[in-house]
Amino acid sequence: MLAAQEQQRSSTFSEGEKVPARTWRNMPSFYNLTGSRCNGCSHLEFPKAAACRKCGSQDLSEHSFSGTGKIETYTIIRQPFNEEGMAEQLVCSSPYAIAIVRLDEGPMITAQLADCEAGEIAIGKPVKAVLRKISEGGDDGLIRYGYKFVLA
Amino acid sequence: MSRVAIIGCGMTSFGQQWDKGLVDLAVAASLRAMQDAGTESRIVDAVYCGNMSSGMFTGQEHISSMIADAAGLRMVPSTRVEAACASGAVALRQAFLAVKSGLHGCVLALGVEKMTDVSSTMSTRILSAASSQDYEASIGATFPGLYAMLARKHMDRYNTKEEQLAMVAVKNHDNALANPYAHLRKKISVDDVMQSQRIADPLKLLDCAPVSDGAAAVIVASEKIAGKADTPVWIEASAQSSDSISLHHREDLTTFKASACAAREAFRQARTGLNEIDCLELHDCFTIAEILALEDLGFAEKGSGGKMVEEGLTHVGGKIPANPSGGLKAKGHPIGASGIAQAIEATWQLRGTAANNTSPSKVLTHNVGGSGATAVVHIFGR
Repeated sequence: MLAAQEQQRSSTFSEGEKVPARTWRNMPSFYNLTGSRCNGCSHLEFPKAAACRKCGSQDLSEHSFSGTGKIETYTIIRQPFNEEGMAEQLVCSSPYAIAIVRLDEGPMITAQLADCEAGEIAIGKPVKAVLRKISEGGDDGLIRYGYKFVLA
Repeated sequence: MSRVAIIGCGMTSFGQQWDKGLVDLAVAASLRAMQDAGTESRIVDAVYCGNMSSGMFTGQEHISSMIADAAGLRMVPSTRVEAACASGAVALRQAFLAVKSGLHGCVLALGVEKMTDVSSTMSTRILSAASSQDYEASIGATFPGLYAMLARKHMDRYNTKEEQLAMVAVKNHDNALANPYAHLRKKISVDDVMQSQRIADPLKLLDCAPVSDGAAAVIVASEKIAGKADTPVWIEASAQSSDSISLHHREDLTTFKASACAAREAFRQARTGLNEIDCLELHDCFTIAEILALEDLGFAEKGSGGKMVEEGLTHVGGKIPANPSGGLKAKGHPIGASGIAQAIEATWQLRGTAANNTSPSKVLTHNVGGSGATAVVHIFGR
């Protein structure tokens, strides 16, 4: 009984301690663009799926995307996302661009566009993924890294 | 199977209501609906409450029992339902199903959102919880940003103009002028929209529905109970469909497939078609959304929604009036309340008591959750 209680206590965090699990479990997608390939119908998805959205098969392998693609659509976000006093702050210039990118392998992905002016962005332009700071100061206190895209 | 009707309506005005909390709003609308139905509150034997995010907006959860208690409905089963901006219509559908099944005779369906207890930046973040936290919201894709990307794609593929988007706002503001419940009772011009603050290109401030407090409630009753009511309005169809929560998982970024799917099912249930519908309440959280809805529901050819608005076909007095209430855009958009408020406008239109009366024989309402991940279509008739 005591051992079981001890085990339970040791597997949880003490009060006030930050819990980094969410950032940790999303690392494969955010660091390596890891998604899924269906071993049945070869359908590719990002992020990883439990079952193939095309054929329903649960026989899937990990697939890391190359990170090259084209802009499907985009916007320039001009309203503030950050406010003084809020824990989580997005790391980017303001205003910033968001795009839905069609990866060369097929699937689409939503991401920030970095290092470009609003006037340079257009539907159909080629882009490539880069690893950048996404946000800092969130619930887990970690600096969160992940993909952004730049004009290729 | 026997029919289901709305026999009572009540709502608060929509807007910034600093003197009222979430429960105050919900109870005010509920008591008005019960009074309008002419029933004693003891006749209500279940409650469904649509609400998107009381927890993040106010810190309060478990609001279903809290509201039922404050409305004098202790011991009645009270259930909260959530489907982002479609929470209201999903609550109405749950009430419809409960009555249709024969289990309950008289159900209160309400929607409420208290949004102005947080800053506008915070409300932007809370609303983005309707999209994927990990793969959209947390990388900075705000909710207006997602609709802006849909607008950009529609403009690129179909040559839809920013001015056509603006015309949706101008029409809905015109319609709200006569609506005493509306948040934005202010006439605007296309120029006003075009010159308003840029939010997420190509969307500007006046392309966006406002952040509003408010509640709306209806009494949904069986045919037996509704038979004793003065002006029952029959729910002829209640259809709902789901799609991927993220835009990047869709095949086509110029359409909400769930809207089309729910509409098809609604027309089947009501044994009716496009030509028999003569008034619409559409989900216009952003101006582009009304254009997408006209196309997805079948009232405009794909790609021609902007042109339809420009030609005035959706004005009050036009071929098919859309959002005579002012819509979410001008009436206001207290998230959980919007779907119920649409049903109230449909009821008032069919009773002939709406502010902008279009004397319809059938009204269709269309409520969307998130950027098209939930779509609910109801058809109402006399």
